[in-house]
Amino acid sequence: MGLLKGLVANLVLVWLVFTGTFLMIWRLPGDPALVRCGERASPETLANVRREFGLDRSAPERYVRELTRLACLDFGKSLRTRREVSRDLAEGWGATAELALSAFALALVVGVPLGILAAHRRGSLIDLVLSQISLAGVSLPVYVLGLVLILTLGQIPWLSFDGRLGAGIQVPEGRTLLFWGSLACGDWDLALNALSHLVLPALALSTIPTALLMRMTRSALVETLGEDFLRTARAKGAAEIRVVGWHALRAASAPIITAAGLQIGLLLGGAVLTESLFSWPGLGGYLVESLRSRDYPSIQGVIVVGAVMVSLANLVADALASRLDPRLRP
Amino acid sequence: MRLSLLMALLILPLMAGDDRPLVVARGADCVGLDPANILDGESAKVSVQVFETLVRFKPGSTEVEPCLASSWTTSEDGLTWDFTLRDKVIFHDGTGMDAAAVVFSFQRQMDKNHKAHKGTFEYWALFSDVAAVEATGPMAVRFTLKRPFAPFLANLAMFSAAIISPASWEKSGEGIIDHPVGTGPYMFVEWRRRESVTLKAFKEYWGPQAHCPLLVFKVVEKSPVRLALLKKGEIDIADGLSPVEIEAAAADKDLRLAKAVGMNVAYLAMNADKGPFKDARVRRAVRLALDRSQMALQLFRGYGQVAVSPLPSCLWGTDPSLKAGSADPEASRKLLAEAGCAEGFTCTLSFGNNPRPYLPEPKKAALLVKNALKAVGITVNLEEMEWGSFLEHTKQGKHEMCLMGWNGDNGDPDNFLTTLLSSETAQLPAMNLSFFRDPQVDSWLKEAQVTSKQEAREALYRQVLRRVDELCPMVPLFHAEQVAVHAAGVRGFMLHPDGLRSLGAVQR
Repeated sequence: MGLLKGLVANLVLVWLVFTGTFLMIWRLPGDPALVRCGERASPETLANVRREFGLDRSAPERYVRELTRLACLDFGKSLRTRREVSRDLAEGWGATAELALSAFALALVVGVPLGILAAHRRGSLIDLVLSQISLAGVSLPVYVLGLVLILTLGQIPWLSFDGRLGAGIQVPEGRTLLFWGSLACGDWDLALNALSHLVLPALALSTIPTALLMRMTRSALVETLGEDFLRTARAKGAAEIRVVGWHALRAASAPIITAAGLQIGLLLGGAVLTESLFSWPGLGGYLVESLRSRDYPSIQGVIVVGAVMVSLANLVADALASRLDPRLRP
Repeated sequence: MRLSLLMALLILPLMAGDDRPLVVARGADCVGLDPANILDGESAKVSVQVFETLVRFKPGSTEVEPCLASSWTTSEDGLTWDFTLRDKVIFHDGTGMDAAAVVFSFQRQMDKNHKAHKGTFEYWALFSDVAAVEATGPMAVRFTLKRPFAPFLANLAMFSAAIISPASWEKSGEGIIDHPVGTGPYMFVEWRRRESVTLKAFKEYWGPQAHCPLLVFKVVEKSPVRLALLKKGEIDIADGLSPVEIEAAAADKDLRLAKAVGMNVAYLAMNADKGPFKDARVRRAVRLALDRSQMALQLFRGYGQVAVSPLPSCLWGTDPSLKAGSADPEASRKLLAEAGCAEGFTCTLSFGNNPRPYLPEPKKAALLVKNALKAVGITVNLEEMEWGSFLEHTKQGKHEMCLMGWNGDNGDPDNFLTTLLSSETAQLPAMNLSFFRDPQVDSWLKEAQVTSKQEAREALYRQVLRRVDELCPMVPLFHAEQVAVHAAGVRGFMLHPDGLRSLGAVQR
């Protein structure tokens, strides 16, 4: 029942996002035909292009048409690339997903254990140092960090910072996750090449989620560490690391999972700056280009997909949290 | 026997090194690869590797030479053009290039009922005087014009006039936008959107074989990253670097600069329909207040020239008697007083906040203009706008002053002057952002379009330029030089006034 309510609530949310985006785009000055023609826009060229783009229909007509198409999961054709928006999105999503999931994996693997460590040794020098590092991680602009990484680690011959793959390398049909997919298929050469391109952007993108998860884990754990049930666990002879890392963590998991869910949702929405800096062909750059070109179908597509990603991530996070923590079940 | 084996073993590794592709990095991806439906520079860069035209510009110039057409004749009245096509040219899909292919490539653009008329064909506007295209033999094509149109031959060298394979349309239909099939030295392999376009040398090319077997155009959005990749040796050629980055590259002993005069102009348009700019004296006063050499130095650091007129120096038709002159605030104030604006006035300068090929740093340029005009009593309010909004604003004539520019298409002065300064293009949405309407200039421009005698055209354009200089509807500011940076080992790389051309001659 709870799941159904969640789904309906999220559907309404997506519809609201769609409508809001439509209204905003409608009020934007300029139109796709004008931006396409640029300096060359003249009465005849503009009229031709507008007709080709279907811009000669009224706004309510377009709204209804686009909403019905959306219900069938059809985003229409991009005015700029002349391809199905869903195809553009699928390609862009593969790139964004690989980067986001890799950055998230790094954040989980580094952030949560460090948070546990900090909570376990609270008040000590380690805790202080970790807390300062996490503060720096959250405050440092990703763009600046990315540039620094390019100029330092980027000089290592094997690491690359120009897109997902080396020039001229062929990719098997249908493989969107270049590193993880190649790893799964045993395609070592491609996996290695993809990895050499993935390291730097994933590192840059992971700093904020790592820092946030570390701080969240620490503060959630510290609250729980004073609880009585842990005294029972210790009395039963459990090792301290098990007390903190298992019992306490389970009780503190709700806020951590919620934070993680939010993070992955945001990451999947497309990290515009990181993608731009590392020439990563993800949805972030696609959205920026679509906005600049006033490519209405693409803008709608990206934003709706982004909204769906965030709501899905939050739904999953909520479900997971209530599974791990019985107190949260309705 | 053993010696030759040893030699072979020694040479082999050296040869293997050349399998690495030639990598060109640019700031944005192609939009589409159907040459008749291209409007952006990045798509054009790739298109000219894969496709060819009937005629092409000579290296480094805007003069025309044969390409897919081996010769041509014109009728006395300039209305009929007959082209003889080159023999034994084949498309990348193996079909032969013939009159039918040429007719197909043009008719799909002009005939709304043609089966392959899918798209917007913006550049066809430059061919609006073509009445008919027909095959007069298996390797002969005739163009019939509605009126004599002197820039016609130059227009045939533009990328939109490329000859495409009709068989490719049969096979892919609208899919030719990402599966181009032409006659050029490089053929299409793959396009990974927003990442790279891969091309490979076409073995059956009719001309000299391309040196590098594989050519890759990579998207690297940020210019500092392009420079970093060049320095690291991961890419071979990059363009679109800022003046500061170009200087840094010039200082690097492993990098070289390739330069060419730009076929462009950046200008300050003054809306003749608004307030003080109705008076030519006020407009001339604005021009006198600007120190264009100083501005060029600050904005381009040597990679841009001061514009004396809207025509870049690489075009014929420029008037050598026109001089840019230096700034003269005194004379400027005098003119303003004469025009009744002794107290000065306030106005708005609109500009787009994104870099353009003719103006890489528009905001900086706007600030320089603002400061210069302050010295003569004109208060300028800067209005920075996003590109789409800026286009809307200026093309609807809502601006008082604006910073804009133009990139030439075909090496013909008509392309600059008629577009920017004729009454016809002052209709909304305007390309004539000064809203300059002068019947005399209009008649000279129209006459120059239909005259085929070069000297007559030159004389007419010189008259136009002198009158435009006098009436001063805009202040021509700069012609940005094109600069690309490449690794020291890359040889044979050249830039041309109309941008990047075939890279077949480039080798490492």
